[in-house]
Amino acid sequence: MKLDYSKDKMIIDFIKDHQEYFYRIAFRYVKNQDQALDIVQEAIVKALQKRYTLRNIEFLKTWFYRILVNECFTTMKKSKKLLFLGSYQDFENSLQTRDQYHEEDDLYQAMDLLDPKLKMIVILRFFEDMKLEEIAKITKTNVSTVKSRLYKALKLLKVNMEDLYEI
Amino acid sequence: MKYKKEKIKIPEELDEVVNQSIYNGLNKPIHKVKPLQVFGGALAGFLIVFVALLNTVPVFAKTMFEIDFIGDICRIFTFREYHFQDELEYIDVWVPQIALDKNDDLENRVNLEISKIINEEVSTAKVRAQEYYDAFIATGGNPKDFQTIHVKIDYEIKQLSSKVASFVINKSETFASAYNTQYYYNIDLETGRIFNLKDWFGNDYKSIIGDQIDEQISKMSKEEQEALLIDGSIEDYIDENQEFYINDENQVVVVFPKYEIAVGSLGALEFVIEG
Repeated sequence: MKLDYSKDKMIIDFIKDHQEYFYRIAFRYVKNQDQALDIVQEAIVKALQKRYTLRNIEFLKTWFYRILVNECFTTMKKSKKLLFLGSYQDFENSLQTRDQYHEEDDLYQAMDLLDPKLKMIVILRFFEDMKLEEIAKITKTNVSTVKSRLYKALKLLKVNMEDLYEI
Repeated sequence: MKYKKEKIKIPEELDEVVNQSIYNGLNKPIHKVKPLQVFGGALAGFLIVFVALLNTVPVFAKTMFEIDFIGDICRIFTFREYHFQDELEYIDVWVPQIALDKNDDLENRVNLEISKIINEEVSTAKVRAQEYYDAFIATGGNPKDFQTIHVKIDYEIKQLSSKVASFVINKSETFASAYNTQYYYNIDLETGRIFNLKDWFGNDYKSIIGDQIDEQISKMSKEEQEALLIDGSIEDYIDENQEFYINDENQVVVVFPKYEIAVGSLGALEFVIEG
């Protein structure tokens, strides 16, 4: 394997420039700082180890986000059996403050109950403002699947799509 | 209604996690990765916290007993000792703190300053190591050939008596000796103040010290004298911030860091001043 420093440098620059985006996606997904940091760490290590699989540097963004998203899924699966003290605390607090009804909070809580794949699509579309085509490439599906999952998610969330953003 | 995006706080560690991961990703072969070893995995999150606590408490307790003290007036002790290693650098730190019998203000001030100085030194050393590494890679260096930088911060007690506490914090980096730094602390235990040179030599301290240094320079070898880079009079180099310590014979020792008044080969220069 020939070492290609200019390609490495582009990947590293991309990572450094987007590290906060990676973290936010991971955090929105797992809602836990340590887990989110772990996901970012794992995704970067894996991406760099497998950087020779990236043949065309034009696909850098899609390629990296796919690794990140997969890492989110893996972590979610692993941690299903764990109850975090932090989230338990949040749960208790939410019971106490139930009277202070707040629609936005409800949306975020409802999002956590979504199927992992639906949740990720919502995050990528509405929080990271990605195009449906991009999301399709990242999740290795096609645009119509992404669209139908999005509709399903929003229906489950009982949110009117126009209330969020135009699609 | 339109939903607002809630704000997500970016943790301070992110930068370090990312840099560390980039390094690991570039250098570790696929099958040998232990991703949880440095920052603690989600899975092991809580375990690590507990383990860390259990580990640090006895260490803390142990170092607390390694105390240099003089009666109850003043103690200087290793408050914290830590060692950190990654592929860019290894860092050894001994953080001293003082305990004064009757002066909490001074004690807090000195201790706070020491902690601050050491934290800053460690973080700038890390940044420097990262920059050096980046430059090394950018110029085509092989990551395998990178020489780990050693950063060491420790302290030395120069005098601890019922009247004087004098000690120095040393920081050294193998990257370049230009980054070696000393911080001197001289505490007057009788008045509870930080000593300055005026306390010892009065208002004429510049000329008194200057004359003695001139005399000592005249006794140096010819080579050493030629290596000096004193522009004008040595007195011009001395001011209230002049670094010094008090040795155990109760003499003031004036210190000029490396490069300040001489070429690097002479190192730091010390002059004992009789007073």
